[in-house]
Amino acid sequence: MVLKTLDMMGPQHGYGIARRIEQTSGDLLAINHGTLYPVLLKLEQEGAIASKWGVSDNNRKAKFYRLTKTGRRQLASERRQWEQTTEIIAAFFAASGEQP
Amino acid sequence: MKALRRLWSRLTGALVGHRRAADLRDEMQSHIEMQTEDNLRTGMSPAEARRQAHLKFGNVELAKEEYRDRRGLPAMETFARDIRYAVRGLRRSPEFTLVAILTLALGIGANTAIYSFLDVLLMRSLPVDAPEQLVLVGVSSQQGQTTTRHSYPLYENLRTDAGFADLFAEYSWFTGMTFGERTDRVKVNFVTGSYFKVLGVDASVGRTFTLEDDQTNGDHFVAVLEHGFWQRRFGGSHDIVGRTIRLADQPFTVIGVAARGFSGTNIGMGDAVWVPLSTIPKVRAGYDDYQSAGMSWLQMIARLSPDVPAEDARAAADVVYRRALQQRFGESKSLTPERRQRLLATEVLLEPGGRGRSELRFRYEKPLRILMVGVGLLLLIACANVANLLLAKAVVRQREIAIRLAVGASRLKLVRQLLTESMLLSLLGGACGALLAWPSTYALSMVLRSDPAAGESILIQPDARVLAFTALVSVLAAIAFGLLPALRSTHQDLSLALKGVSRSGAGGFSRWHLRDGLVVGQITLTLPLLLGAVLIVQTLRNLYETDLGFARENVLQASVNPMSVGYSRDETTSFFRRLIQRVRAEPGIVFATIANAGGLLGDEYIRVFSVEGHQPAPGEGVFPRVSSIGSDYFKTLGVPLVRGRGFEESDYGEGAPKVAVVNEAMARQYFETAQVVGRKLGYGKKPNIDIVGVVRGSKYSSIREEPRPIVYLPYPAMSFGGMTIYLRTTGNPAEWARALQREVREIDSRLPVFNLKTMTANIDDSLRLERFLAGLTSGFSLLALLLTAVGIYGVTHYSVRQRTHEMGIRRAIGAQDSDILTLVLRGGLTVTAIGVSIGVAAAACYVPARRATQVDPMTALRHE
Repeated sequence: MVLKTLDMMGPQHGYGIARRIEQTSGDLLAINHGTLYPVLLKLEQEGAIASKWGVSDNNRKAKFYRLTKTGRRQLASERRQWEQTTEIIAAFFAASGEQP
Repeated sequence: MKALRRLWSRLTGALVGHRRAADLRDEMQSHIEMQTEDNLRTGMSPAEARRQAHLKFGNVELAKEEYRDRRGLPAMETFARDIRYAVRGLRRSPEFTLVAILTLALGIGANTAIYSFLDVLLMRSLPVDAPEQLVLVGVSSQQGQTTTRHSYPLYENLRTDAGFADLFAEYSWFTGMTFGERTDRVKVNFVTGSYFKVLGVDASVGRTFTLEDDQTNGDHFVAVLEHGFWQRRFGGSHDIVGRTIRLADQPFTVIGVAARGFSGTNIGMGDAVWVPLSTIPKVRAGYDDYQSAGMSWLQMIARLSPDVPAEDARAAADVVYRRALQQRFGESKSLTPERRQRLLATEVLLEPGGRGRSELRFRYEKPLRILMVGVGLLLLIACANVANLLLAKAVVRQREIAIRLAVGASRLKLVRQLLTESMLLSLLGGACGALLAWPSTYALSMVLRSDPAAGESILIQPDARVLAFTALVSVLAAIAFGLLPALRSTHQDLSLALKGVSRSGAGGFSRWHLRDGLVVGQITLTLPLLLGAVLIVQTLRNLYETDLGFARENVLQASVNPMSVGYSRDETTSFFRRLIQRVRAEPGIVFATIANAGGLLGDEYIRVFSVEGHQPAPGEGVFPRVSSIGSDYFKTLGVPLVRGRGFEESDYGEGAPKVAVVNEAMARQYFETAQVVGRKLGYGKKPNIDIVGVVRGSKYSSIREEPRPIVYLPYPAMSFGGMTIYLRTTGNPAEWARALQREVREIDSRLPVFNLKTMTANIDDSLRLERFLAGLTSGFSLLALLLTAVGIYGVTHYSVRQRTHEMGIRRAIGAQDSDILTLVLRGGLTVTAIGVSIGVAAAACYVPARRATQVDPMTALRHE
């Protein structure tokens, strides 16, 4: 989700990412924003994202995260996996629908 | 890949942790502020906006902690924190730290030094290919021991017919090596062409021998140099290949330098030069016939094939050996039937050869093992001391520990922290100890170098293996001294400790016992060390006071071997004649003489004699030791003449009547009377040497020996080139050393002079092993005593401090100074007395127990 957000919106700070996830999910996913940071760190350690201090829209100092090449590749592969998973699940539902 | 990247970033994260922490704080701060602003925009009050923002964010500390755990390596960070804490703790009490580190450094340093010796002499493998495949080839001798000297034909037979992968033979000898203007006395090893191939040792410069180098007699005068010798004597110059060196005046072409670190198969007595065995007739007189079956002189090392079991190889070699024996002695008429039987009953024995062979190992193994136990005890005593100090320190920290326990630190965590502190102390001590080990092993190598069985080049140094041992000892020591105090100090009644009650009450009572116990243990361990040292020093004193049978004062000695620069036998004889004449003309020289053995230099010449009127029992013979001496020998060394006369000038020279002088032991043992002047002895069936005098017994090759039969013959009978010159001087004999060297140089400047020292110095040298042991054990036991004294002091000091309160009350109710003094003294002395009695009891039990282990089962059974 973080990767997708960054892919769509370009470089973004932690708060922005959190807001975006909430908005995209229609506030269905109300997460503690604090839990976002360990995830960001993990992604950064894996080299999927990179961070840099910058200035936000309303002139506040904030850390901006952007997607790296590795991140893009990871996103693509995860998207494929997800599509595969959903297809399989969908196929199951479709199959079970015909059964009874 | 991903995991690797994560690990790397964690590692760096752990290192720059504090910066990242600040980063994260800023980031979270700005997150919350942005949320607050958005909330304000939706119309919340500032306070509500802030509250909602925090609610949304969740638990900040939890997030931080999760973040931290992910960022670095938590275990490593805890460890680093423990170390930081330990360093702080140690710095807070510098005196304690210094004393503890010094104590441990002494204990660990002593262990490292002795272990490096043990390692070099007893454990290290030769730097060769697959040393575990090498075996020393021996033959069980008729006396039930193993002889390792064999004839050349046996080598050839074993090499071609036995089941070894390969085999080489070697024989080493000291001779003069001349290069440029200088001649040095060096150890030359005559080896078969297979030598380097069997060992798998390559050349570091040039090449080593091939089989061809040893094939034709006297054609291949080539030499390979030992790496260290090449460095020392030739400055490590690569140009040496192709140059000529002279060994006993015979020119040899240097073809290479052996691999660095390899100095032959004799540990402690390295070879300097290797030459093909076939060159020996040109270098050493009397070896023209070196391929004869009658000379047993070569030592052999074989390499076993990986696919032939050692026992099969031995059996195959035995078959070859037996065939040779049968050929030689099977039909022999010169042997009595019993003697032939015994000869034919001998068999081939193989011993592991991967560690090489060593005279030093044989002599120093037991002393070194004893010393290792000694230094082990010393380390235990040191550990007890440090444990005691830690316990004392724990009392001071009792409140701190109690508070930490009270606020929820786990006991495990505290023990871990305290152990980290011990570990740090021990490793610091170990590091200092390892530093101490360098000078001490250097000093010990210097002691060894004066041993004739050790080469000049022997240098024992701690290496990586020894340092690993030191580290291991340090860690074990830390556990030994740290665990008990750590467990003790974290096991306490919190409510009492927090109130500070245990400082003077029951809480400290059990700990007081523990500390007493440690001191008792120290004293118990110190006693055997002290007793051992006293015994060894006593032995040494007895040896110094032994009657040598000659006068040790005012005698100077020096050895010269003219054959080592190529003299013939006759030239050698006239050289010594001239030298003695010249030396006798020097002012201040009372007497001067020469002898080939008998001056405690360790050389021995033994010969079979026949004695007029003495029929040796079957299986026995007359094997006196022989000394070939110049005139005035008995006067120079002050050997008292009992009967008859000493040698006179008329006894020397061609055509002089054959005469001999014997000692009392010889007379008693073979003539059963001291009245032997006029009786005869000899080499063959008809004794033809007249005995002209009898001297009192004297020591021959060592101070430790019992008086044994000696036959003195006038030089040059039974002499083989090298002789020792003895001078009796009017004053300090050391002052004539230069004059003696000058006289030798003036006759022939190439001749190396060795063993140049006074007789007293020679005696010191011959007792080096005992002195070495006595010095070390007394040193170690004094150290142990000192450490124990510190321990007793510590305990007494501590108990006095603990009982300040009690003392105050005692004084208040009228106790005198003397009463208090008695009270304290009684405490300390009780501890000492307990320790001493246990120590004495242990020693008293040990001696009979030890004796019991030495009882021969047959004797024990006969007692029934």
